[in-house]
Amino acid sequence: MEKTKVFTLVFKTLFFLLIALFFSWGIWNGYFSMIFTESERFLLLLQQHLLLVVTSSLMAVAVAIPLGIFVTRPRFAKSEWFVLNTANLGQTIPVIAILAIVMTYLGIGFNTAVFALFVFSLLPILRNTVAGLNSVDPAMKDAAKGMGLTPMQTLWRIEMPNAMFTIMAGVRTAIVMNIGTAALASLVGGGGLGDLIFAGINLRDNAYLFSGAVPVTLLALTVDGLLRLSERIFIPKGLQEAAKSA
Amino acid sequence: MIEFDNVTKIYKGNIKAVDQVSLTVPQGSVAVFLGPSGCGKTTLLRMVNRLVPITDGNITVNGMDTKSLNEIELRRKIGYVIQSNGLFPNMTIEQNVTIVPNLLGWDRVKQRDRFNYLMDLVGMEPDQFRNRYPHELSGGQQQRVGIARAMAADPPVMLMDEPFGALDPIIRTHIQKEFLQIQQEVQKTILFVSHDIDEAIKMGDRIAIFKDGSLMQYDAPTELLAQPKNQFVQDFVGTDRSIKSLSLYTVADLLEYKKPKPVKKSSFNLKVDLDTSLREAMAMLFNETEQELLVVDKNNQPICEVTITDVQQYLQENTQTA
Repeated sequence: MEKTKVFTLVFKTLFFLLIALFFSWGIWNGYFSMIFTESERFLLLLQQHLLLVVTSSLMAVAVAIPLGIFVTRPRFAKSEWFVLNTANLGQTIPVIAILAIVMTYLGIGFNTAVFALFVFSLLPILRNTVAGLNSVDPAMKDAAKGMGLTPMQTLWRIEMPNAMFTIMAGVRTAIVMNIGTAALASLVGGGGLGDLIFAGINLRDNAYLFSGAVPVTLLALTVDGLLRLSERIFIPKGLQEAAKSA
Repeated sequence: MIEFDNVTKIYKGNIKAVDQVSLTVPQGSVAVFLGPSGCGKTTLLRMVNRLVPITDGNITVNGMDTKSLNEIELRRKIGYVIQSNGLFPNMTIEQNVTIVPNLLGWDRVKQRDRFNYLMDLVGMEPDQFRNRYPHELSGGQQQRVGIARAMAADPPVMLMDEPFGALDPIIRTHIQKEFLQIQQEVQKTILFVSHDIDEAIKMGDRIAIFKDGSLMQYDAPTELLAQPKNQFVQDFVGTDRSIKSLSLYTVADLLEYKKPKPVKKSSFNLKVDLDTSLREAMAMLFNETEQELLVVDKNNQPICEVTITDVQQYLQENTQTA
């Protein structure tokens, strides 16, 4: 026990030292200067990036969770295989390919990027919603049914709260992935911090590259942290405590 | 009162899970469904609240055909307890217990009063457990909450599917005893599924033994042990059925059958009163070198003496071989 603690501490220290080294190296070389010299453009791109992520993620949540609920209802159980495999397929196609395909229909710009990101975010949420709902103890559902809860009441009062841990994990995975992937929106004229990254690559200019890539990473980490915090609201207290004591 | 009238369940592929079962459970009594696994006892229980649809026949609860009611309404009028307690981990103990009253739209005060009453009934301090969660409770406590929850809307009928099956033997014995005390107070009509003959004898006013979906015998425990109707029942209750039946008779029963012998000896080491079960009386005789027990009345006045032979004769008279 003590050994692992020491090891974790050493590892963490080394990790943070490396990060600090990286940042001082970047700042020393003026690689982040773009953020300050062209801050107006930077903020605009950051805003675009956030808008891409928020729009596509909200759409994905709004579609994937109800779809997950739908395929886990006993009456529609047969559709689970089809829906999950379709979503899997969506995940296996590279985002760039999705962008290319969508572009032929929606043209270039924001809409195409949002749509591609939406498709890409569906699977983690859908898969976790289905897994979460399927893992709810059948005895619990039987007790609920036997006591006279309607299927809707069982869903909202019993199944969803007990599946929330898994569903939230799926939402978090999807959004964090989405933040990174949204950099590709630049390829179809969707804007966002990808503009800086691709400019950096094309111009072989580290200042552009870093000013785009590092904020994307930081954004992903921050959002992940915020979503973890939000679990305290979305996941019932009893389950949080049970998870802690287990 | 629950009446089963030619109840049959046939699953896909012509598998008969329950075959033309007819029996009546009187108001306020406990009927235990007993049998090996796969004998249809749970299926029969689950047909009462229509968790399993009935193929043929009728089940009436307090004179009402279960098919005539909306299944949601029907289930809210019937308490339901299962083996793995089925408490909801996302809800507090109070929310768990009052879930049906909550669905029925009771006001807060009434729900709270009901919670307090039920927790007292099952021997748990209401305020101590109100805001706690199921995972913080022991298995025995969880099962008590499960029972309290089933009684929340004061249903006249309760279905219990091996409710104490998952508990360790010591706690199980304890809860069985407590449950019988609760039943004395609330007088519900209860269907109780079990695979344990000892539990059935202890809990049931009547026992129904099933084999392959058919009802073999439906009788009071004493009758069942004394006169098993066929070889299956006899094997199921076991060769030690006369010993099992000891706990069902009291010294008073024995004296009713046999004229008390006048007291000869002046001093006795062992004394029992009329309410003592024959099982305890025998145990006392086996533990000591004494040949007889002194039976005393409520005021500790001697009535007569009882010997091992008396008990033996009584049992032989009552439990003839089938």
